[in-house]
Amino acid sequence: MELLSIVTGLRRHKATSALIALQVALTLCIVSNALFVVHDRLVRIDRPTGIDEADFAMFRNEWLAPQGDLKARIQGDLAVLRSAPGVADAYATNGVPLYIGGGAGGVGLKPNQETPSAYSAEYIVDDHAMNTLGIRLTEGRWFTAGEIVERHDSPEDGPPIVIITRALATKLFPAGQALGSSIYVGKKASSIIGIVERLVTPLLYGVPAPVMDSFFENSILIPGLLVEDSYLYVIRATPGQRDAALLASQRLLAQHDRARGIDLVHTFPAIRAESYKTDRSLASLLSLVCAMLLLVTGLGIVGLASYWVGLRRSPIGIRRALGARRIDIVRYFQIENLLIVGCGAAVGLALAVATNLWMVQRMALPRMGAHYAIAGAAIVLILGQLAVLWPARRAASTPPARATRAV
Amino acid sequence: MELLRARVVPRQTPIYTLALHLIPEDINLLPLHVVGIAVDRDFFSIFDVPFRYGSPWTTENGNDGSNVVVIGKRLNDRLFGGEDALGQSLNLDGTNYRIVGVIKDWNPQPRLYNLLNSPFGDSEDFLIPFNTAVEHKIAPRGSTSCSEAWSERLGAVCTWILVWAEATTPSDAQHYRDFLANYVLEQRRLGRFSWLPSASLSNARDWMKEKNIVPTETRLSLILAFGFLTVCLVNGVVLMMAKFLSRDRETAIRRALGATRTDVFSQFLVEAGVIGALAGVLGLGLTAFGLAFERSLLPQEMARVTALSPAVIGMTFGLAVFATVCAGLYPSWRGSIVEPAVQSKT
Repeated sequence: MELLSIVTGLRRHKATSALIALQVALTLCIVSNALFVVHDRLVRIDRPTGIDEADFAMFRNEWLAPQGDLKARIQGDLAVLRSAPGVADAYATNGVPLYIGGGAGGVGLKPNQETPSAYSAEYIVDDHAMNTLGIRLTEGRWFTAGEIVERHDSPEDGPPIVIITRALATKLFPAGQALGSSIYVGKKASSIIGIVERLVTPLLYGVPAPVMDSFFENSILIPGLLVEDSYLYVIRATPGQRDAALLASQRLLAQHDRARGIDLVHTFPAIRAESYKTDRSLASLLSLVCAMLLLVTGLGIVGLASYWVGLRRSPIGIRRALGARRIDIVRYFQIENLLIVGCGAAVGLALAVATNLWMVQRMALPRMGAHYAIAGAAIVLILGQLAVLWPARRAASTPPARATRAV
Repeated sequence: MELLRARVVPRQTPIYTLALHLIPEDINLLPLHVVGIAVDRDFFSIFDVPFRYGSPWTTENGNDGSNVVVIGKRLNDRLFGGEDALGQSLNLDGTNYRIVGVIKDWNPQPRLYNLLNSPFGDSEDFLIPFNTAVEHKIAPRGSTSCSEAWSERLGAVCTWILVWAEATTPSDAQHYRDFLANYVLEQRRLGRFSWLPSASLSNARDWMKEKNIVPTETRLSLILAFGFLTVCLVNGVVLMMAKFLSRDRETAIRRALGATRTDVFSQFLVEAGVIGALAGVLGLGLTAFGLAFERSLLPQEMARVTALSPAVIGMTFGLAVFATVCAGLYPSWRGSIVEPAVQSKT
């Protein structure tokens, strides 16, 4: 009965009601898609790397030509680093998780496999790497000093032994028994001697984020000493000594041998912040815009409801005089708002899903779960109810006597 | 190489990126690895590079491959504490270069002159003459399509340098385009290029588009901005409807006193325009605040491109007024169709 009178009332404001419903629909569409992207990015930022990040520091070393006995110079450097004050351990490598370098390529289960079974990052590490990175070994064993051979950037043959991450082991051997099995990263078979809990890939230049995310935890550790003119030194500082140890180790190396160039000097928090800066800024920007959008739509509803309250002063007075309680008037406005916002939300749900599908196609975003759209709908419905409350209560305070005076 | 020697346009420069070891004479300074570019003298005038100390190297220095270098502000700060470093020598990969110029804080974003390698990011630490770099056989760093060893590179068929030519008039540009096409055809006749001629001359904007340097995040933000604008406009229509319709009594009296519908309509529209203009001024003030906030959020590389130019200010203001007037059309019309008689009777 009351619903009918509300609908009749609304028919007198067709254009305005439709417009506010449209605004609600657009708001819902934008807010739910934005929330989805924000959540997606926050999850991305939170992914663990599998290493001890707090005490991690690194820099790149580039030898000046002519290099002479490069292997001996690198070993000399490592000895200097490992005895440097504040340095717990150190190693030389080709890549750092979340940051640069490292090879990446296909991994096969057979020699010369056409399509690889998985993609993976490849890190060259030595017997000190596990301690330096603070990686957790869950199965098998780590490399021994005797297994560390001289290596170059692009080995044709596969290494005889490797250690892989749990994620890669599960992907390659879903039935288990990865330990002791063979994989192919080169021409020859590589036997898996250990499995680590987690170690993520570096950023791979030119590979789109969704592709990279698909094998984020796939890493292969190859035993070796990288004998190249350019590579990275990774150090693990004793707790609390990171920044001092980073500076001291560079100075000691420069004193030890000056014919080099050092750059890319970083601690892990800096690497993490830089790697995820885009994600973090996008999440903050979207959240901020969502909040402002909700504010604008809320104010719009307040404005329109206030106008309608002014317009209906006389009918409200009459209803009050005929015995309607204050709560009845408030409820009238609330139901009216629910109708309009509900219609808007229904359209908005469809619009939100359509927008997401369009973005999936155009920008390689992941598909949005229905719960984001539903959460968006809940948000606009609650917003509508909150926004209408103040005008509705003002309407309810219209004295009954007014009806008799005004007309 | 022929291409570089031929003087078809008044100013042109090849560019390639190189990375060298810098070993300071001061034993207390750490040896560094620095990134720079090899260019011709014209580079400085084409891209209007501002100098803090000194000037570009001379044409003679550029031609005979002298060991001269222009360094960036960052490097000058680090090595010489920001003091005048002219005449000092810089040991790059074992060769001493004489510093002839120090650039001011100059970091155009995006760095369109070198999009082949990271387009955003810090400016180069140093610039040396192209001929000098070639003479020392300094290998390029970053993206090339070459597989030959450096010694064979000069005659090799691969892309490793960029050439920027400044054409002041469209006919100059056309002239250069023709020259390129002819050059490629001629080389093909000589049997050097096996591929079909695909010489194209890109201007700055196309070049950015071709290299696709705008990230997804920026596109998302743009879509979001337009979505937000739409919602605000719809909101504006709703509120103006409420505002104009609630003045029906006033309108009716004005109509009864002889104002035409057009008069009322245009009055409402002007009001909408004034609101838009006020909002525009307020909005630009907020933008200044917002931008400062946004800068702190965006990656440093992107933040450098976020700045307000007079053109953007004008456009924003124009858009605000235009959008509000458009949004005011329907409410103004609805507000103006009030019948004089009906209202004045009550």
